[in-house]
Amino acid sequence: MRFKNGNSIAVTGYGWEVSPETVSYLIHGNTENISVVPGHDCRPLEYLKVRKTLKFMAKQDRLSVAAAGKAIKMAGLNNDDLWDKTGVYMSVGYIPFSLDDADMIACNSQKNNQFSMDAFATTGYENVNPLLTFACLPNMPAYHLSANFDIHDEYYVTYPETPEMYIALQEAVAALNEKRIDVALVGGVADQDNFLVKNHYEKTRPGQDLVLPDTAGFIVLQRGDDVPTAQYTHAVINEISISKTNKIALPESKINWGAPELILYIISSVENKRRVGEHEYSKNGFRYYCHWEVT
Amino acid sequence: MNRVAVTGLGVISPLGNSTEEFRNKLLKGESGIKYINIFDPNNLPSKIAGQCHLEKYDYKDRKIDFALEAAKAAIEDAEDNSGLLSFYAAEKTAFSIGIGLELFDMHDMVQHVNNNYQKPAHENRIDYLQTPGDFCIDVLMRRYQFSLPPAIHISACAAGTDAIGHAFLKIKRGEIKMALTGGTDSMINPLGLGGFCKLNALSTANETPEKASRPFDSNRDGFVLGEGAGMLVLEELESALKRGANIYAEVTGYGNSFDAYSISEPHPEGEGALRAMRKAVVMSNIRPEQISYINAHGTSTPKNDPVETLAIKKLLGDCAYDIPVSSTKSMIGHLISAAGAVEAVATILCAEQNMVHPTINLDNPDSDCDLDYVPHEAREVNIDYFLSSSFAFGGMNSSIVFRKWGDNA
Repeated sequence: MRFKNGNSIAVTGYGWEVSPETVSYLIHGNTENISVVPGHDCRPLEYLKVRKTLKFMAKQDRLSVAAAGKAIKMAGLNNDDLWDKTGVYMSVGYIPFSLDDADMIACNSQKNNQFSMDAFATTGYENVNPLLTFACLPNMPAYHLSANFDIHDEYYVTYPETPEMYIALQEAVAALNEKRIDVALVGGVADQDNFLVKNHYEKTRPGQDLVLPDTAGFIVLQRGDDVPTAQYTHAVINEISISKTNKIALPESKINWGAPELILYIISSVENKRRVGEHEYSKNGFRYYCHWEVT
Repeated sequence: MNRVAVTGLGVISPLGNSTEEFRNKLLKGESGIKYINIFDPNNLPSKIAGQCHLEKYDYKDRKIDFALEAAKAAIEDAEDNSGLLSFYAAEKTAFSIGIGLELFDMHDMVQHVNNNYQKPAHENRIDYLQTPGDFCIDVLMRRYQFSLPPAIHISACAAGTDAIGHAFLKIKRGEIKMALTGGTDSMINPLGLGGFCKLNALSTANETPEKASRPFDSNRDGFVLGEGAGMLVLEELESALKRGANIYAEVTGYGNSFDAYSISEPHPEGEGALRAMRKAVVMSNIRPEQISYINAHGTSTPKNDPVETLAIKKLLGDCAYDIPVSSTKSMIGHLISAAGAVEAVATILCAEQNMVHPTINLDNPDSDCDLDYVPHEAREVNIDYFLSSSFAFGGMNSSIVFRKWGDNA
């Protein structure tokens, strides 16, 4: 999908919430000897409208709010600007589960080392944190973005990886071109330093011994004509295409960046001041490609 | 911009697995809510649900089988001797689905934790510990070859409506010609049921399951969990007419929005719900009073029902009291990510016969819920445009407008 109507789509803000090691790998690209990246978390207090909502936030929520907050701030926007005609387009990674929660539920829901519904419905149920449900719902990162940045307009929330991020980005561009929105907050988050997510990848990509960092990245997109000054345009998206392919692309590194991968590549190319950037990805017979220019 | 037709419907529901059976039971006002027998709910506060029944299951995660059966039914319905898939073989087509949480297996979870978070060496099952949510999508994509990758919607209770809405937008702007769209979910398992119980969100009227889901009633005490799948085939109208497809309805508008208010409660003024409904109406290029019927989100929770009523009144003004509103959830429960899709199927099927199904168990209407909710009995209504809404935890709201096929031909 090249942009037929000539509108340029400008990246006016960006932000990521990743570990320092991840930043180094993304910027310098030296991933040959990587074997592990430490988990990453944050406390995005400066972006919370109400501080006590932190207790409702799982790691994916915290990372999302922090990354999106940075992007919005860089774009020079505030909550009043975002109230109307702003959309959220995001891809959320595989659903994590904390060790503490798994431990508590499993230990209180067994008899004779086997799962017991009797134990689950009594001891397990009594001890489970009622807020656990919110940590499992995949639409919660989008909620926290809307609540903390006063976003009331449309959304496209998908899962779990890079192909879905491409479709989310396409939807954002379509919404901007159709003028349903004026600002698009586009990004992804993946809480991957997690036993459940690791189990998932061990099943679906056996033998690849993937490194799974925690990542979150967001960009703010606006129609080029609407950007007030040149200062706020960091990159311009030129092409997003999805097509069928017979080629099987082998992964270039053993780091799996998760749902935000495309966004992290865009951000790292801007940070690295590369003139042009591109990202290519293949999965299940489809090729995904994005091209942008850094301004 | 292209017009978009609904040409195929498929459903797996607590009221049956064929569109004919589903519609008949809806119009009779039957309840599909029963005591849970898929597993023993034991001492959990809520022990009732709207369960589906298939003769056999190929997957541990029930929603996969529901999705496969509903998709097959929708495609066959659309084919109807008109060769849907071969007609679009060279065209851009897509799959857009609302899907629920990954299924966690508690037996595996206990074993995994006891084994120091190590997978036993002999375990090679794809569904060990949890069934990946996109596994369902993979299974569907292997059966039906679409030219574009699937769009997966995870907006919880709004996911089904969002899936249909985005498929509609893609056809409308000419990006694709045909889509298979809908939603599937099954949270009737220990963690799913337990999680909602812990939020005090579920009805505990276990002694009278068929009366437990009572949207807009003053004695409502929470929603009843349901499961199932609804699938629709959408086509660009001109193409559908060219292949001689049977057309149920046209999709005319869609909108979604955030409340940006609370993690679990709707905005008290219904502002987010109103915004979504209004967007769908505006996109349809109609006046709100042209809506003949509203299929409500109508969960039977203390907070949703009066807020939704308020939003409908703000949308329709004085006309609100003249337009019938009913809740499918009164009969099948809340199907979470499948709800919007199954309720769209319900609404289209009933509209085809110029009927609206009832809201059952509405014995003592809440004083804040004073619209015409079609209590107890189905009603004949001259249907033109109709609206269906779904509102999710986290304040995500989604609405879609259809027009019955006939006068708009």
